[in-house]
Amino acid sequence: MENSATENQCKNEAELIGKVKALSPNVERVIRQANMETPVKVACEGGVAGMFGEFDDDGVWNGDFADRSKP
Amino acid sequence: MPDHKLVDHPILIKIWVRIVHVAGGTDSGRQSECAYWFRHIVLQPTTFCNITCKYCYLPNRDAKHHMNPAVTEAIAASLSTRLVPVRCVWHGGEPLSIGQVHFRQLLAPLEDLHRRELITYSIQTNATLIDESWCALFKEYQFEVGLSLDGNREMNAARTLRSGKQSIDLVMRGISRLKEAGIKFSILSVASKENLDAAARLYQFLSSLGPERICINVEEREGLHKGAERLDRATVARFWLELFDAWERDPKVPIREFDQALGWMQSIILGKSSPRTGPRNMWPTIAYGGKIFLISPEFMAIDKVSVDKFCVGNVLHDDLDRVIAGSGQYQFVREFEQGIAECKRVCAYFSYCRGGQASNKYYETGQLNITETDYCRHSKIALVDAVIGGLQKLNSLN
Repeated sequence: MENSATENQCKNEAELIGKVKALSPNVERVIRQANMETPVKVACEGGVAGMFGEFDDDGVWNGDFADRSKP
Repeated sequence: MPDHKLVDHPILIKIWVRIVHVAGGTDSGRQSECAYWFRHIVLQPTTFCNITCKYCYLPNRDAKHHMNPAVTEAIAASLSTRLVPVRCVWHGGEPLSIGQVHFRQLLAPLEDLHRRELITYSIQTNATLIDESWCALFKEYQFEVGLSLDGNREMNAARTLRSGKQSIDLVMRGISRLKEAGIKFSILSVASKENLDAAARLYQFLSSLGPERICINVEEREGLHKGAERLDRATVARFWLELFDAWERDPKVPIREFDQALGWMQSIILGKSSPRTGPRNMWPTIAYGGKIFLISPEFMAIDKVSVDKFCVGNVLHDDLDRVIAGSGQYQFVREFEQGIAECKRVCAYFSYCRGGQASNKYYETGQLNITETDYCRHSKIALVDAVIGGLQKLNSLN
């Protein structure tokens, strides 16, 4: 069972980035279909909000400690 | 940037925090290579919860320790000269269980900050106590409401009332009240054994309730729940893939995790993904009695022996900005930063995850300076791999 979950796991960052870039058209398509404008906008804005880590509930690029909307 | 020890005046600290915030600068002080700030405060108005979820990590959810308004008075004083808005996340226990009279007493000292838009509110509730009067309060203070629900009656089986009965009927009533009042809400679901094999049905059910957003937390082993059986990794991976397929076919309601993953992917594609250079958001949590915890709200759930390790002060006698600015002096913060640095060195998924969650590292291993945890595997790596897998499947369908 463990193998089936990990067979697609990337061994290094370059492999992961390569996979993502190869999927550019599909990423764009899904984002467009879902009307996901906020992450795109924030990612392009950069600045303070663009420097830390991941998107939080508000669609804001947020810090290393991730969003804390865990229960 | 100035040395922490030299910045000992509250006003200077606030100005320094402001400078760090605006400039996204780094601190070259002796104690740490990071500067620290916050834009969220997690508040625990009560330890008590009126329901007893099987996976709850809070050890004192039976006790009725309620926050005294003196605590929010102290928070207001700490924030009084702050220039950057703060989001207060009312968490728990179950926040509504303290009753509306008490809750309004806690809000009163923060009124001026709220009026000046220097403080905004969100609340995470189990929704069982929501009625018309709570809806009126939410509207009055522009609360963003997150409610917890794991799916339909069968999937929600882990969330029971103290009587042992299912909580879902009361949750559905609460959702009806919110909708009648025109209050938007998000739904937070825990993916556990009760719903891991039913991702598509989970999405169908939750999206039919009309939330603004769905958020998924995979069940974690921490706090009171740290001894729980490990989830099977392959099952979690299948859950994410099935959920992504269902969502991609009909993306009528955003799912937080897919927003994050796709947003991160797009930032890579656009070449906008930047290494971390700014101050670290410390996510202070203020417990009912005013004690301050950093990094993870789950550190409030530690045993009495360990509380000294993670409690860094009390708002009743410590200035919050000063405590945050001095975060680098704490051993556990430095250990966590060591872990993040190691994550960056060894983990392929670091650019997405940015170093994992402190509480999961601690509860899973007893250490903070480590790298991959089950939380990483289930909530970050399996998620990203599922989104990649789902996107790859689209190629074969075209």
